Amino acid sequence: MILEIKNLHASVEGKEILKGLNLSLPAGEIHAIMGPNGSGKSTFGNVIAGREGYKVTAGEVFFKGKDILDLSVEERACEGVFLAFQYPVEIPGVNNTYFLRAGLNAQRKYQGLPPLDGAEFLRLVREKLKVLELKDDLLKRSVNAGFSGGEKKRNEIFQMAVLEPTLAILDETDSGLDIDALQAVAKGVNALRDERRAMLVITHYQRLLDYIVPDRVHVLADGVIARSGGPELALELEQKGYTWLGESG
Amino acid sequence: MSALPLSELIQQPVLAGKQEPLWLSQQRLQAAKYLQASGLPAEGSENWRYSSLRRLQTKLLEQPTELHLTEPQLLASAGLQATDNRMVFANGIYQAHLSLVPAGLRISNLNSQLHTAELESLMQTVPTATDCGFSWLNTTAFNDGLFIHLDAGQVLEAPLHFIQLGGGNSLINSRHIISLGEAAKLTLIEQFIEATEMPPTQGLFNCQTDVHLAKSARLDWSRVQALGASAVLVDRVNCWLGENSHLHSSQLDCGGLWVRHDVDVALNEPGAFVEVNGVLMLRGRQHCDVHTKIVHAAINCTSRETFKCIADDRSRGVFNGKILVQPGADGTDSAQRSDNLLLSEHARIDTKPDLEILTDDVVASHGATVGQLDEDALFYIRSRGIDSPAAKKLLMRAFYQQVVELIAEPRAQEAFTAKLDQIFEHTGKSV
Ligand SMILES: Nc1ncnc2c1ncn2[C@@H]1O[C@H](COP(=O)(O)OP(=O)(O)OP(=O)(O)O)[C@@H](O)[C@H]1O
Ligand SMILES: [Mg+2]
Repeated sequence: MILEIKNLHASVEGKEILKGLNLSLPAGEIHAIMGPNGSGKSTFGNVIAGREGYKVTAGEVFFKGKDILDLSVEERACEGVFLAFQYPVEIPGVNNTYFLRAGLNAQRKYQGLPPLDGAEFLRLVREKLKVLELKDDLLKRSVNAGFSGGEKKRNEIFQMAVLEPTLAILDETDSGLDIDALQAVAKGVNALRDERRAMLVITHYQRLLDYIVPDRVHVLADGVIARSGGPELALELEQKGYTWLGESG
Repeated sequence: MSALPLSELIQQPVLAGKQEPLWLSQQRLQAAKYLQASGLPAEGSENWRYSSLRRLQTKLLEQPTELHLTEPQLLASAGLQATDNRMVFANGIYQAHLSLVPAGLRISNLNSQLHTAELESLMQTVPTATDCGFSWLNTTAFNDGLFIHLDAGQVLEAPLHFIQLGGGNSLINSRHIISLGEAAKLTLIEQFIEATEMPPTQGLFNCQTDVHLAKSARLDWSRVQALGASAVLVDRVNCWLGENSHLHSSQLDCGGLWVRHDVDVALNEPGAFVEVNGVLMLRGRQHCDVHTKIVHAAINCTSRETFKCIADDRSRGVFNGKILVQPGADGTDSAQRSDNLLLSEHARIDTKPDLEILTDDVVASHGATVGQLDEDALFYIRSRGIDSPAAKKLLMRAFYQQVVELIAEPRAQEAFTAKLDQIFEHTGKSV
């Protein structure tokens, strides 16, 4: 099991957002998380990534069998947790390539591996770029600064491709993407799909799931997983919206 | 030699130089009179409101002493190659044996120029009224300085390093004069530093640099001020810019306990261009007060200013940016930015853009921010595996990098970056 969550309660600024969430994500699987605006999807991603200010008040989170709730943000990243942000942060003055290499080498150090030098890193980057069809010049610019919405999302996936995490949580990476970008993102995700990893794909649209076919679909509503099912659940949600969940479940 | 408090020293200023021309002796006497009448700037003077002189008055100071520096010590302290052009002053005393002056150009110490017509005429243009007693003190007592006078068309390709070293508790009054003739060009890299293996500077540097740029002249000037933690510095720069001349100045203030730094630029003729950028990097109990004043006195002149201040611990930073656009200075294009980063709840930064625009045909923008490190950015960086101290450094570097990138000369960029990286290790601990 890559991720095992039991009865997770979490609050932000004293307000309880996650109210007893349970989820099991086995190795090799991709699960989709859908749910109404404000239901706690991004909060969930932030809690798993370890963001300060998101307080876990009850429950457990096991990553590869290990309790990670006491680990810092960077330790979780080094353990193999990756969050693709719903709103990637612009960092003017920090070069995109430099940033990514610093991240990768920090993770390698944590894992007891030697750092990649400039040439080795460049080779890796070139290889990943091909898959993602990301424009070369984005690498030379500051992290996300002045990037279009689509470019920011591609950059998230590019970072994921380079860091090769064990668990990736993609928070609405498909929102605001044109068809080409959507396919590029799906390509990046599918390239990383293997038996040792798992992914959580947070989305509002069934469309993404045509390209990234999930093993399971969960509906997060009011801080809990209100329903789970196979890929067909996404289609059903697309047709009926979320209100019917209350009636039947 | 016995040390005296500053307040007494200014009452009996020592007139430097015995073999001086009459005009200079007269200037000195005049200045001494003003100084004795007005003293150092009074408490409550608007221009000095953030920088109290009270504690300075009792500071015990002595006449400048020789530092007896060797060449290897100099090269190591200033990060220089043996072949670099350089003018070196230690406690304000010219170090001929440590200097390396390019042949065929008038670059020397000021004392060797005392009887020249050029020096006399350049020193007449200095304004005689200022609210700053340090200026009077400087005129009264300066004992030497840098003198550069390039003729029309003269260009020095390699940068000239201008090194001022301190040590001990001397009162150092230096007067520097830089004059570039028509279309002359110079790249100057100035450093205020302590020498390795020398006593720390506990004295007072009182420096004044006068810069005259003739038509189409260009001065690229980077200044790294990294004096030791006990040094006191009053550094005043006056610039007069002629037609289509160009001054690009980058200032790093990261040293000294108490620093007042004034940069005055007069855009006197059409088409003149000035860019003044600065980084203040303060920690401990450092106090650094930067005042810039840019006067647009002619048509179609451009001014650009970008200042960044980072204050940690209990330090205090001040940026006051005055821009005066005089009547008739049409076609003025002026932009000023002051961005400030507080790393500790006990640090303090005051920033004050001060625009006075007395004509209509003007493009003028200014902006100031004071903030802390961006929490969202920190989380984003850390979520990629970079630890918290490294993430903070990354953001601080990004913050000042913008100014460093505006420095054209690679050696100057290097000097900035080296100094910033060096002090970086000790900054941001309290964040
Ligand atoms: N830092 C915060 N401060 C205050 N409230 C917060 C904070 N973060 C989240 N919330 C609140 O928590 C609730 C859940 O927000 P969250 O962003 O997790 O929703 P979401 O399911 O991701 O929504 P969307 O589909 O719109 O992205 C919302 O009511 C939101 O206002
Ligand atoms: Mg969200």
